[in-house]
Amino acid sequence: MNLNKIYPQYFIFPALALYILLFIIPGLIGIYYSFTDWNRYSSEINFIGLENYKTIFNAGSSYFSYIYNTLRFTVVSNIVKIIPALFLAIFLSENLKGENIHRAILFFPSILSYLVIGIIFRSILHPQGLVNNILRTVGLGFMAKAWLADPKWVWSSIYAVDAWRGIGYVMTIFIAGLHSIPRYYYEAADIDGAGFFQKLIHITLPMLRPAITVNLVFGITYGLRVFDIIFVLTNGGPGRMTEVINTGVFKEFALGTYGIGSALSTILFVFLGFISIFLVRLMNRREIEL
Amino acid sequence: MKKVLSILLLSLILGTIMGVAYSQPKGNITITEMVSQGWTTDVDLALAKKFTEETGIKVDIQIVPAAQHHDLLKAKLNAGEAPDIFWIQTNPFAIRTELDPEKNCVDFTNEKWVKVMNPLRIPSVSYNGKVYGLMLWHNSPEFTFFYNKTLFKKLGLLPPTTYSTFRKACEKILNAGITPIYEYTSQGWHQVLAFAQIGGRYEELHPGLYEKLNNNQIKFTDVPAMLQALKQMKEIADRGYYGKDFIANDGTKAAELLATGKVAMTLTNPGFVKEIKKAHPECTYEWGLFLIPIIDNQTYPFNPNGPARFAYKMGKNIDAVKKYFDFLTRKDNLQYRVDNHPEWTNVDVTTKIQQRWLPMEKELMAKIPKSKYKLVLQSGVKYFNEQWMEVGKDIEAMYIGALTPEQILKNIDDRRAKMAKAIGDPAWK
Repeated sequence: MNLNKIYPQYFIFPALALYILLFIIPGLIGIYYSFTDWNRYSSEINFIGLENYKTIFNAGSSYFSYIYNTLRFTVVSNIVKIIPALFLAIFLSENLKGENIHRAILFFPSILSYLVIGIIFRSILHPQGLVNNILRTVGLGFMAKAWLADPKWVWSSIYAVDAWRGIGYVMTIFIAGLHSIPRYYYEAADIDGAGFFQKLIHITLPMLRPAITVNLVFGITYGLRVFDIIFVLTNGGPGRMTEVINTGVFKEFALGTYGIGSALSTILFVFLGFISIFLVRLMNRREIEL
Repeated sequence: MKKVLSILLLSLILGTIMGVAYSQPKGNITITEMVSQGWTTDVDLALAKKFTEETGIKVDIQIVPAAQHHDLLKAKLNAGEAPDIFWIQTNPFAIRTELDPEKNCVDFTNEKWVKVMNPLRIPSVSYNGKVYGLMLWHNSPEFTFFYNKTLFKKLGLLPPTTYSTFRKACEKILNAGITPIYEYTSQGWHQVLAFAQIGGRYEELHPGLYEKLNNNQIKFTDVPAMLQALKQMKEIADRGYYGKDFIANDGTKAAELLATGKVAMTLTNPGFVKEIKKAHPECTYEWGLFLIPIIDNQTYPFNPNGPARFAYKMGKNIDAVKKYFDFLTRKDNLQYRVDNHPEWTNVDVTTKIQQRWLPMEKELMAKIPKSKYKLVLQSGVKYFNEQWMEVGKDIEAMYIGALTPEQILKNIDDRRAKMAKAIGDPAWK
């Protein structure tokens, strides 16, 4: 079999046609609608230029806070997932007894639906829920909070639930990366008397770059597109404290103001586009270095 | 012989298959029905079951949390994926903006059951002279304060009629170690009631207000009484009359907290007493009703509108839905609803059935002159009901200090303008 056979370029056409039809054209139409006043109440669609974007970026607009919340969630949720997941992966790669069971337990939340997670955690984090009851039982009742309703704690609670769900998945990618690092690097470092952190900084982290990049790409795109976890836990509340771009898009579409909804989606698309290009370039450069 | 047996066996198999095939349509129809959590009870499930027993048509009732129902339904309608039956709170102004009935809803104008509904309710489910919805709702005093009469007597309190006496009563109850009011905001809708049910008082203080608002001659931000109402609501929250962590309340504990005397009152319907009696038969408290005394309101919240069922025009089971609506409006099933509903004491229909009015309802209604029966805000003013959940979010934000009362009124005006312009309302041009 000739593995070096070069196939004609027109083989790509069916896939390309489907991609253009299902992704590029709807995407472009969506961008066009973001410059219109398209809404459910009128059959006319008028071009209104940047009016929807002006509404969104208006200084007093609530949409601006949706964008801010989305970016904040993206950054913080990745930090609280990636760092613990890295250490868990290292810990579980040390040939521990029952490591597969530990991995399975940690991965389990990733396969639960957001609806189930929402129901479970709304109950656990309720002022009369499990967390507060435990705190009261151990004499820490003063720490009991309305975790999903207290403006000071609502974001932390969301990050915690998101981390509980996502850490296992991130950890699995790290474990795969760790298995690809040749053991003799560590053996040589042991002979040289390197400690845990020296090995982590000089061997593990550099060799884990592809896994870190994969986790970052997945984590950032997930963070920017976040919807489900917020919707099921707080529905954007209390007030509008935890509204993100996609809950905003959902609400605009529910209100029938498709133009603004499309503009919010376009903003998200631009963010995702820039960040994806940046991350892909970064990943390519690092792979070349390696 | 073998040949005969083979033919008999084949006939048997074919007969069975055909029999199954013929019986399939009856047993295979399933109507999907989407309803908000607070609007349905076991009585609907029981009636749906009874309907299935009679007709073989199944009814799959999908109960959606109240905070998500409105947006989810609108998103489904906009995406062309609505269930066969859906519920929505509507009124003569909102039906067009909420549902676009000509596009989305089945026309029921010629159905017999239209005459079963109270004629006052028909405009809420009609558009351009056609009837699109079935509203089977109660006619009790809606969302007034339901209070613990025994506790009030013990503390020497009378039902308050002004904001000042209301505040004093709350203070006394709080000092007795009892949470004065059970409020719940996490479902997104309940907190709006205190603002909207006193619409009649706004009208009293600003005669002709509804008409001016509907003609865009005045804005919410121009109405001092509305600002004052929101400020008083905020004060109630800040003084702790709603209790600690009320933002996390979802309404599910109301009966328990009232029955155990931990809470003195809540905004609800009188039939709530049935729920308390059922869940807490040991409770011996007496219960009463009084009007929401914010901004000294003493108007009776008259509301001919309520949640109603509509059928999706693009649905595949329209005939089955028609049968279901016929079934629900039959006299025996209306009586079953009144007799078995956990909260209602009556159903507002023209059919003669045995209603179960409570003494406390009669007592309240007897006190209030008919001249004080005023239309609630959500039924009298355009483009308000449609943003009920958004206003709920804003009021919740006010309670946690993220929005001011002035900002809430401005947001209401902005959303009204957005909807009015989108629909091409000449008053907003």
